[in-house]
Amino acid sequence: MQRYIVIRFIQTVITLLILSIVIFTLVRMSGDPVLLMLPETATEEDYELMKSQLGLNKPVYQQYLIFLFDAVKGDFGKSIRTRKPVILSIKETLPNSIKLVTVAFVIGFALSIPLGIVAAVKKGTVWDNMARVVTGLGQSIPTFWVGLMLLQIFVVWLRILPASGMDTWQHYVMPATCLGIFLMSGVARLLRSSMLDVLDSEFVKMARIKGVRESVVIWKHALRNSLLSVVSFGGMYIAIMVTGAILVETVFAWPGFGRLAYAAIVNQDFPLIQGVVLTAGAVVMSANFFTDILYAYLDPRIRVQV
Amino acid sequence: MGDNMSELLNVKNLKTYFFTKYGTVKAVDGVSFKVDKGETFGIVGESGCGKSITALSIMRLVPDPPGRIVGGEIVLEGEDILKISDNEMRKVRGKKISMILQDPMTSLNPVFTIGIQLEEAIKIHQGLKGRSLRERAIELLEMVQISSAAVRYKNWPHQLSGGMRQRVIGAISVSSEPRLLIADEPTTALDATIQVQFLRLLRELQEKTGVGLVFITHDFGIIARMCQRAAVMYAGRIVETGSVRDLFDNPSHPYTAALMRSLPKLEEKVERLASIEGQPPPLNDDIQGCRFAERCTVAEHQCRLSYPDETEISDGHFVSCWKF
Ligand SMILES: Nc1ncnc2c1ncn2[C@@H]1O[C@H](COP(=O)(O)OP(=O)(O)OP(=O)(O)O)[C@@H](O)[C@H]1O
Ligand SMILES: [Mg+2]
Repeated sequence: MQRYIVIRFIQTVITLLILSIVIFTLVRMSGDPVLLMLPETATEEDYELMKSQLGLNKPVYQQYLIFLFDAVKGDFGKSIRTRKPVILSIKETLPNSIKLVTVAFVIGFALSIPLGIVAAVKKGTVWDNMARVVTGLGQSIPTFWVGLMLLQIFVVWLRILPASGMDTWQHYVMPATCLGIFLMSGVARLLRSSMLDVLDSEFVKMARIKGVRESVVIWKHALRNSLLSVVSFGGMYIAIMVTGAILVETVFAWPGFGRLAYAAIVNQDFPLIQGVVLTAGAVVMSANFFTDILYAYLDPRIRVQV
Repeated sequence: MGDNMSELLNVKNLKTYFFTKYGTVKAVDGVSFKVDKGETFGIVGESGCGKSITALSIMRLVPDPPGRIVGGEIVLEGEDILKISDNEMRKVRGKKISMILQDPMTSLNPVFTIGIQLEEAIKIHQGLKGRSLRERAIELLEMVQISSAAVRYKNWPHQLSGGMRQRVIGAISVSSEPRLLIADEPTTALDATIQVQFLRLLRELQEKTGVGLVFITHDFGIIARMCQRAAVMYAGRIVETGSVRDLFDNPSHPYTAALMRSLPKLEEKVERLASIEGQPPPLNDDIQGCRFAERCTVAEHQCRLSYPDETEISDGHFVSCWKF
């Protein structure tokens, strides 16, 4: 297990390094930042001066190394627009997003576990079909549209929920539901199919042979095993959440990381883009890392070596 | 055939069909046999002839949908268990009837220790708790010859070899001292030497607990070694039933006779029984006559028209064939 953790950790670091190279290259290919930052009236000398100030006249590999070491120290430079250190913006917004995503996760799993179980246990019945329709809609309707509909219903018509901000629990209801629905659909479908596999397995048959109650067969013997495959996709849910958060936070004006990312891209604010993408990458990678360890912990076949 | 006092199980005209989109699969189509208390009764037949579905029908665990028991009686100690409620049946499982499945590698839940899985069975039917529960579990592991049982008790299934797992499953199956134990090809997945060990263990368990054993296999050698009586199954029906001696010395149904001829040597394991021309008919065909007629060398017109009744050709030796 320890060996496993070390190996996975090294893999994570390598992946992050590759990500940093890709971002570094892409940002430099997507346009000249100096031109973006300079006023129209700037002269050739202004251009050269700024270039050397930003370190852009050094060889590319040096530029990358500087960028990398700064990034490790948490220094992503300053926003071109606001001149505010990128790391400060990230520190302000990331916790807000984590709060939102946590609530969304709770909502998503609270909905998807019963839904997935019912769909599998009642396979082929009207329950299964209803679950299929619900999860199908959840996956195919764009998140921002769900958000706009919620706004229309609860803010414009019923006037019972606040439209934006994050001060009270009421503020969480709509954005978290919005994100949660998207998560729910994927998880419920995954759970349904792995549950069907497990319910068909010999050890479930064996449990029934022992005279185990059907509810115990489902909640103890089958669910525990089916959740393993759900957990193994944990990193992917975080990735989905990051993309989802960009949309949802923009719709509900949530002062989070997703909205920061949106602003960075719209403004072509390249230090901010670099910081945001690298942070998002680090978040997703560490989520992957921790779900793998959680998975290994939950599955004795990995945790306890033969 | 014993009188009512010694009779443990009486399966009468059992029919289990699967209703699939390709039609009705008559996996078990009118199977009848009896098992006495403490006896070992064999069921032998080619792959796909309905042995496992017969066993699952007795447990009332046929996957539904698509399967359903559509007719017959399963009388266990005088009571038709097809008539009792699902909840009552659940209490019969593990307590009165138990079953060992074919593949020990997949029959144990990978995320629970064998101790937990063994205790679960004991808890349900005997209501033991705490220390006594644990002691009973370890005692059972010792009974199936698991060495250092107190340590093994804490192991996960993947830490055990196939043979050990099958013995743990054996321990689970007899934990509540059932009256009837169905073993569905319990040694097919094991190495030859482990096989012999496990069969010996089963016999010992049977002697200790007096359990009636239904032994399913496609290996005539095992039938000869383990059983007093046996039935030969073909395409969802039993074609011949008798003492093992009857079957070996006087195989009377043309199918049994052909099987016996195709046996290389007694005690030698055969993977596929049939070195007989042709294949069993698909079970979703609506065949009126004898299912073996197409492959039978002595079949007559009558054989294709209707199914022959069971005839007792000598004491306890039954054959379903128009020749008798
Ligand atoms: N879920 C199912 N749906 C449809 N048909 C099924 C299903 N399960 C079993 N059958 C049919 O029932 C027949 C009998 O299957 P069964 O498992 O009892 O065979 P078997 O004699 O145990 O064979 P084996 O020696 O391979 O274990 C098979 O031919 C198969 O076509
Ligand atoms: Mg079988």
